[in-house]
Amino acid sequence: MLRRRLVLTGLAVSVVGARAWAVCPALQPPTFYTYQSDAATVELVVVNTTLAGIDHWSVSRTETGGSPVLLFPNRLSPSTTSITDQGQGLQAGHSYSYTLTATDVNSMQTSYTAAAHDVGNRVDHSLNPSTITLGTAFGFDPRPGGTRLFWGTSRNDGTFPTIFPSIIGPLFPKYIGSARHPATNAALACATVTVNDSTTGQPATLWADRYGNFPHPNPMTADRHGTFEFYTWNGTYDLSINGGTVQYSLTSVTIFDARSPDVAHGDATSAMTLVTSADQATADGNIHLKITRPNSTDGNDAGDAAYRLLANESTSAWAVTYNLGVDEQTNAVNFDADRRAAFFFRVNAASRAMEFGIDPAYATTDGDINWISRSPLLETLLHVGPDRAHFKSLLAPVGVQATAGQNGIASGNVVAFQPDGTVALTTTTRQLHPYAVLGVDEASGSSVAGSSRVFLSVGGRSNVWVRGVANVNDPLTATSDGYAQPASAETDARYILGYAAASGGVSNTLVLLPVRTR
Amino acid sequence: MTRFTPAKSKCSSRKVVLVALWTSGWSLLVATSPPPPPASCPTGTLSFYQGQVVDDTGAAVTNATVTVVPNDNPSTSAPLFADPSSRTALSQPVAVNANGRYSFYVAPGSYDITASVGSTVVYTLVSVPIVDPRKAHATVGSNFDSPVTLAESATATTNGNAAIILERLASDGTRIRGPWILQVNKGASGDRTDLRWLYNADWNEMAQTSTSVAVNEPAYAIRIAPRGTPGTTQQFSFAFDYSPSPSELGGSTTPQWTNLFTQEEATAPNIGPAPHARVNGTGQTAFVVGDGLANSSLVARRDGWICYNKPAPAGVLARLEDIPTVPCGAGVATVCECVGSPGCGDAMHPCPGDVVVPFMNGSAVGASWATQSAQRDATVYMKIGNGTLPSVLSVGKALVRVQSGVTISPGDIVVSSGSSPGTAKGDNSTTDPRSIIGFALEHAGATLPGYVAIVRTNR
Repeated sequence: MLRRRLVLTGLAVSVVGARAWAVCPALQPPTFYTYQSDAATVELVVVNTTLAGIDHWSVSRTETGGSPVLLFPNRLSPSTTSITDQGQGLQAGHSYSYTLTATDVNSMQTSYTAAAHDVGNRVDHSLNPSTITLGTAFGFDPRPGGTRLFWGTSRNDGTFPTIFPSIIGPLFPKYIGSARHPATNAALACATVTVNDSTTGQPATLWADRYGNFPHPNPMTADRHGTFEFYTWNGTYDLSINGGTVQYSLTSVTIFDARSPDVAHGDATSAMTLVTSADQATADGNIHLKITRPNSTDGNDAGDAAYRLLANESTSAWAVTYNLGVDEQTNAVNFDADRRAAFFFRVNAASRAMEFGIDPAYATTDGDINWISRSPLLETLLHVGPDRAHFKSLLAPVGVQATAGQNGIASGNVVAFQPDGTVALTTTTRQLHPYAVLGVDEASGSSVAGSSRVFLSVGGRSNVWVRGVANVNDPLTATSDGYAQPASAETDARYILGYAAASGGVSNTLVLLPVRTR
Repeated sequence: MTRFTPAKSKCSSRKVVLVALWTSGWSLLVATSPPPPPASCPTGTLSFYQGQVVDDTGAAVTNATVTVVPNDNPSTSAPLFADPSSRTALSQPVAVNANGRYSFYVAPGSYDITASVGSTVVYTLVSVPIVDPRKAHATVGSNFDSPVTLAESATATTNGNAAIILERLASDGTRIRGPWILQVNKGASGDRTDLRWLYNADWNEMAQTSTSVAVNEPAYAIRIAPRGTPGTTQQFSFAFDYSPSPSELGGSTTPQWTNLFTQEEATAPNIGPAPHARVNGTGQTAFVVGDGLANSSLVARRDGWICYNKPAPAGVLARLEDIPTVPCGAGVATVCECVGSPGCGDAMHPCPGDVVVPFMNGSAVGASWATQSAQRDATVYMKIGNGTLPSVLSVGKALVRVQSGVTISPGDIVVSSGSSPGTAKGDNSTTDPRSIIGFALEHAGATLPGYVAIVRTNR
């Protein structure tokens, strides 16, 4: 059982020559691919298993016009299906080619050039010549008929103007195993390994690379030391090992990488419990869930700003925030990026209220020239709690929603509530309780009776159609046809929908005037 | 009652302790309460890895060493530790023990692990995933794959089939707050599954009732649910419910829910059959359009309010043209405060808290100091912090500058002073609503010398 667990964790590393339980294949030309997976990252993939019989392999990288550089690791197990060239000096915009060198047990070396591909949108395209020129952006092919995603050059050079950045794909879990004799733990060289889905019993789909772009054979051949590896979906699998004279199976093997897409089944239990410390955190230690869309280079770029879901020891008992971290010790919020807007939707632990607040991050009049680094200053626009309820707006009027009781209501009209709860244009001069219409939720801008949402101004400035000559501060009352009229002598607040914020108007003619509504 | 229990159960004894504490505090029926908190172990943020170096015969290699480097930066050495909390560092290479075994804690990630004997590198395991899913980590999706899908049973249960539970636990597993539980909840019938965030209580799907609370704190529920007949057009309602804490309910652990906010489709008295919003209260709740919240309000006197790059203070704002973008004082970084007599900045433009009236300046609307006693349409000026849209405070609460030497008490009617332009005074004889700026919330100078907080400013 102990031996089996060692095999399962894929940790066995041999240090002496192999004892051949199975026949190792002779070296055949491998299928060797490269593709770009990030701005300065290249994946190197060996798809077939004909390396199983060799001693080891290595990869060298040659920049166009330069000399070969041996990549780390430089002595790879024949079972290794792929490696990643990252953190070893790749530069955006430069062109590279790759060479795989296989070394057999007699130290004979044979080299093969990698075929360069791009794999955007999970569609494999061969690049010719087989060099990788590292693009700096990932987006749609702008050429006529181009619909696929691929790495290209900068959006500013005119050749790749439409950018829709994305990560290249999900990360698949990797499994590293070792075929070992169940009784002796001796390596089963070049054993045949079959992987089946435990649930269906059918052969599992395997990949040679972490992003699942190139297939790996199933069954596969272990190397001279019994080691094998592959990528697949998170799941449970049955592994059958055939070492010639020895066969055995490992059933219900869980292959799982927490960084890969996953389905968590909870049934009557919680599918996921996220626990953070009781200590008052000063940074993201109190964040249970963080959601980001990285790598965008278009207007949707989230940059460093992230959405957060948290249960907090500070004011926010529970909150969904954007662009805000919470310092629980000081009860302060901090920007991810101070030039971006921010919001919170939370239950306030102090007031026990549900709240929604924003920091709109207004731009300066001179762009970024005189930008002053700032801290968040959030305005709570909605507060509903056991103490009180209120809502407000920052720059726009405050409105309430009503349902249109007739066709044709538009922004700037004056309406009043009807007994059935809908609103209709005022029908009498100096009608009681008039409201200015902020807007109508229809593409045409004109209401449909019974279905349109009409928003009524209850505070702040709105624009209203006024008939007659108005002076600044004149009270406005309703007309009999759904508009406003100046009424400078009006003192009964029940009839006043607001006060003119500008003078203007013409006798018997409708003019749109700004009004301070009430 | 196991759904708060994490995958590893070696800390399960804590649950017993917690239940015992709980039951000793309140007369709790465990069967109808939220389950105890999860065990807090494992501690630390690092992931554990262990391996063994064996040869092809199956024998342990006892003189091997192991080197670990990050897969994405193989020229550096990965920081290894002997414990999950990074207290004891391990130097590399790591020597195996007498059984060829080795182990270490490391930050979650992918690593290249090289086994060597002496100076001879044998083989390297490439991109070995070392990620404890119970530790903080990033899960990556794509355009096609959700990073995480949480699935619950189709069968109604005595709890809410929680998808996510958020806990804040002490290192010993003690629950210091109630859990936040995200549920996709089954209704009494049909397909009325709703999404709800519950705090400090669970939901019994079988009985369609909430459970007892978990800790002596209030309970909340944020609910989003479809309404109407399944198979036909359905709209969603949104609701926020609140229950006081057990200590506020005479020791009762049964939530006493009050619906504070509802947006739903339903027939309601005096409203009609149309969709409507309803703001409820606990009997004494005020409903305010405009300002009036903690952590906000009081124009121009908030710490750190800079004229530029800042959102405005509280209130419903209305745009005024012809207010200079350069604030009172000088320079873009000037704090928008100008305690003192009118005239800071330039003679034409008011300061935050000044009493102003709109006026026409050419074709645009501007504002100037109120110069008459109880002047009609007087209101309180505020300066929006950014951009080209200066505004006045039109509704809500504000700090307003008071005429020197004037006494104002809470409840007084506040009007423009007349004798000192741009300032206010108390005048309880004023009855014309157009002349009333607002009503004093405090004695003049209580918050800030020279100013008084008022509410219900003119609009």
